[in-house]
Amino acid sequence: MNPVIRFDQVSFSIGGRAILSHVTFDVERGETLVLLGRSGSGKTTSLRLINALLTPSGGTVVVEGRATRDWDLIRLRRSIGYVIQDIGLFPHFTIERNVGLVPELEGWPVERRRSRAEELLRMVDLAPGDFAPRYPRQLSGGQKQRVGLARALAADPPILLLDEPFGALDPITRGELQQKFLELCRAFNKTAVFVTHDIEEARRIGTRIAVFEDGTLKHLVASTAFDPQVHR
Amino acid sequence: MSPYLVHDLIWLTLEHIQLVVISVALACLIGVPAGILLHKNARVRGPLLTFTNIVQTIPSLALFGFLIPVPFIGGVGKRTAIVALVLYALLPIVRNTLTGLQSIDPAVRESAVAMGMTPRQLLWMVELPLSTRTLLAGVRVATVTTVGTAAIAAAIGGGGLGVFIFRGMASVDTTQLLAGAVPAALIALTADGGLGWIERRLSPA
Repeated sequence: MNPVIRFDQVSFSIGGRAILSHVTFDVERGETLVLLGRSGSGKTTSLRLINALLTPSGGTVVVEGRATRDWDLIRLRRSIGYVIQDIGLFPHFTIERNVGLVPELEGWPVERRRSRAEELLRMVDLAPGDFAPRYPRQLSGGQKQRVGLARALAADPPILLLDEPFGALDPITRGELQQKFLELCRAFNKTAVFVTHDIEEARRIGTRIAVFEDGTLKHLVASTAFDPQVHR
Repeated sequence: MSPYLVHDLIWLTLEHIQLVVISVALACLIGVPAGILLHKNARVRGPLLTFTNIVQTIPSLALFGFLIPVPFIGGVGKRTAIVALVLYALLPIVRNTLTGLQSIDPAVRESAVAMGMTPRQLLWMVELPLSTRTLLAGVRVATVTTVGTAAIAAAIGGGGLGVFIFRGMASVDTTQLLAGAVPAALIALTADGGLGWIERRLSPA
């Protein structure tokens, strides 16, 4: 089967400084690939190359068999769920509208959007009756990130990109959300790329782990075979 | 109070309000898109802000004077007055539009783009609503200062309450001076209060 995402000799530099050099890897359907590394190792850059927030300086990023530069960017991004550490909920929209945003952009009718938002809120363990009409500022950090996760899943995208999504949460909430994420990925057979610097999280979440250092891919191993002593 | 004074008072007050409304409206029509443009285009940001800053430093009486010999927009009368008032009102509107857009949480903008918003959707659904409050604060400042500056428009035949003030100064007539100054102050306070109210009503948080 063809990989969902393929990096082929991908480089990225900005202002003459190389952030990423000649990175090659595949992401298979249904797996969660964790990109692990220190800050500045190029993992976030790699993630942002997938939904074309950045354009490679060299090489090709292929998503669903087509190079990102050949995609209609709007179509590409709407088929990829995106979750970031700072969440980025729209402060002037209710939780319901936040969750239903991609469906709204896609022109779904109001009723369908509403029922989808309710379904998703239940999926992330937030009671729709209570949370749907609220605004983001009325939620705790953990609740916000649940909403962030629900929002990313709204239009049922086949691919999820997550950039240290649980990094700012307390350990208990983080554990709960990791669990939730695993359940959802399995239930809906999502292909995910997950950036973290937390080794424990990488092991728990990942099918495979890609270790980044100074803009290069150093190791790519199954998470069961991952040994921080060896793969560092 | 003589019936003439009352008649003039009503007429000049309305004329004053007209000057302010037209000038601020035009300044918004130019200033908001200019602010958006500056936000998108860092290269023109410096020069354009410098221009609006320089305009602001020109004494208003001098600016009215400068404009008189300019063809098309100049001359003596309301049109010249409005051109000058628009130039003054531009700075707070442009600057606040820009500030409002720049103060949006980068994570919010990143999410919007990553969720597949077109640039137009990003502007109308996210950027403008989230900068409304700052933008309106700029309009408010512009309106209040325009009410004051518009009084000087009378010097070049622009009309408005300045007519009273210049007349009162020339004839050392306190009644006429106050007939110009008090309504101008009331207009400024009302505009400030009203726009402040709208600002609070519209703001999301």
